[in-house]
Amino acid sequence: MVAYLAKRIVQGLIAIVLVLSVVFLALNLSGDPVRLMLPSTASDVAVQELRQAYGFDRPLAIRYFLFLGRVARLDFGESIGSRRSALAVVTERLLATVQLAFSSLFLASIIGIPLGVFAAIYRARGLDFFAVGVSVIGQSVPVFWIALILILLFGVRWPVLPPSGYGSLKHLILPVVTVSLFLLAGITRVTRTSMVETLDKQYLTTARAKGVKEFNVVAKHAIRNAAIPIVTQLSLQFRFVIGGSVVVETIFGWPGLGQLLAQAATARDYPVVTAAVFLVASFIVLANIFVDFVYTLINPRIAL
Amino acid sequence: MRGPKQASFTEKAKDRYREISSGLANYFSRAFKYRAVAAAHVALLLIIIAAALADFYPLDPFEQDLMGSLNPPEIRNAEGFPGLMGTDPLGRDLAVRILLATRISLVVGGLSVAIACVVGTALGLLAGYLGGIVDAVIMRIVDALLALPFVVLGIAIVAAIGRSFFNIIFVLGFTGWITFAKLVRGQVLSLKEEAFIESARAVGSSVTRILTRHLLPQVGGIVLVTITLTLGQMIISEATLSFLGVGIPPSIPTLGGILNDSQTYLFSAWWIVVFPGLTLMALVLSFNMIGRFLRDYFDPQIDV
Repeated sequence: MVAYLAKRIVQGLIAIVLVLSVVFLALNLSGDPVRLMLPSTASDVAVQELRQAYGFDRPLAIRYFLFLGRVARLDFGESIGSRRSALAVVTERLLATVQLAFSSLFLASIIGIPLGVFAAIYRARGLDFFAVGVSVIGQSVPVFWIALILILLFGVRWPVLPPSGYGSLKHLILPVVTVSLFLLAGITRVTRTSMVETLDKQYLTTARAKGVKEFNVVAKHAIRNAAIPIVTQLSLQFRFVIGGSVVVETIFGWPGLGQLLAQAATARDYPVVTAAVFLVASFIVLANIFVDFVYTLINPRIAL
Repeated sequence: MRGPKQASFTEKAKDRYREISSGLANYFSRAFKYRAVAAAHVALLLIIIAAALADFYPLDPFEQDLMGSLNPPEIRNAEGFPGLMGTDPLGRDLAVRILLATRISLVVGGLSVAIACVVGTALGLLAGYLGGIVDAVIMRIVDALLALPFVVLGIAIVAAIGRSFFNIIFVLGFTGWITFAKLVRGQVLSLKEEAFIESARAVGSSVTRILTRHLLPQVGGIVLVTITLTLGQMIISEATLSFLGVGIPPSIPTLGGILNDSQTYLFSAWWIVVFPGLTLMALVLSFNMIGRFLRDYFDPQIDV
């Protein structure tokens, strides 16, 4: 258990360091990062000053190790826009993104999991075709377009909900519905596939043969066994939860990480971009490790 | 290995031709049994033809006409030209811009999938067959890329290397190869204990020969399925980056770029929101339907 946990944490740390290295290399190999940070009209003197201030006059390898050293101390430098600690700027946006992500994951799960289960039970009938349709169409539509269409319908055509903003419950509805619709496709598909496979298993025939009621066959025997692949898939989908939220935020003016990241990228605020990458990657790695623990709760046969 | 008599070149070519044509006939006779799959093939063909012939459309995609700004869709506009999808804020015809943008989507999707497929298949073969340290290194890189949502990594890299046509293709290819690598690796792991690989090794075939002559043909089906399904995802990813303003430069019309502009006109011009999105959906849905069919055609076990 402890050994397994240690292994997962080490793997997670390696993943985070690799991701940050990619961002570091992209920035440093693609030209002069100082030029990227300053407007194109900046004078050569200003460029030189900033270069020395940030240590960009040193060789790449040295800068890389200094960068890793600062990352280890959770120091990502100052935001170029606001002159505050980049990590602080990013952290204060985390809550809004987590709110959006988890509300959406919750909504999508309470609709998608039952939909997938019933589609598998009533295979090749109306409900199943509906579920398959939802999952195929849902995979084919970009999340930002769902957002635009919902605004068009409920913000413009029938103006019942605010098209953007943050604060009240009303503001939460459109963004959460958007991200849920986006997640619904994957959750329904995974649940349905997993249930279809489980329902073919012979131990269910045995259960029926010994007289277990059909409801109990599904509820007690099938769902519990189908849940393991579902949870695995959901943990792999976790990055889509964050990814979907990030895109949707920019449309609804939701003050989360995504909105910040898009602004920082256009403003070339490189410390903020790096800090955001770090925070999101850590969050996803931790969430995936957490899911491994949920496994043991569902299935006592798996001992970590 | 070879027959008693060396077959002549023309005979071999004839055999090959017969093999391919009967394979295609078999494919299409099965594909056209399902109405939705048949429709997807026809739709994709029509979209590709329309996008390829965009230059012959009677209207100029770049000609601005501020008097004709934001015209709603109509069969014939004031000058007697078709205006099926209306005009954009600068008075440019939306239909022809969407055709041109669709072509960009197809080209970007195609090129980035080509990169992802070559890199991912090669790394997947190596990781699966060699195992050990090679496998560990490749899988840690896969982990790292899975620790971030695509948009976050995309925004971070584009923020650093700048937005240009080829940079976007690079970013998409760079993030897309992991799907290929994971699936091919899984397939190779189960194949490499099979007798035909062991006998190849026993007669002294080199690693290169085993990988290219024996394993590569075996993973062809899974790779083809992944290409089709990934194409749709790449097109959505490109649209997402362009929508967020970190994709293809705005001088080139893209579906994501048009949708980004549409945000300002949500309250006055629904057609700029609806038509590019529907095009995107039709395109990606076709690829996904065909991909799902290919998966059943080759091997129903694969779950992409």
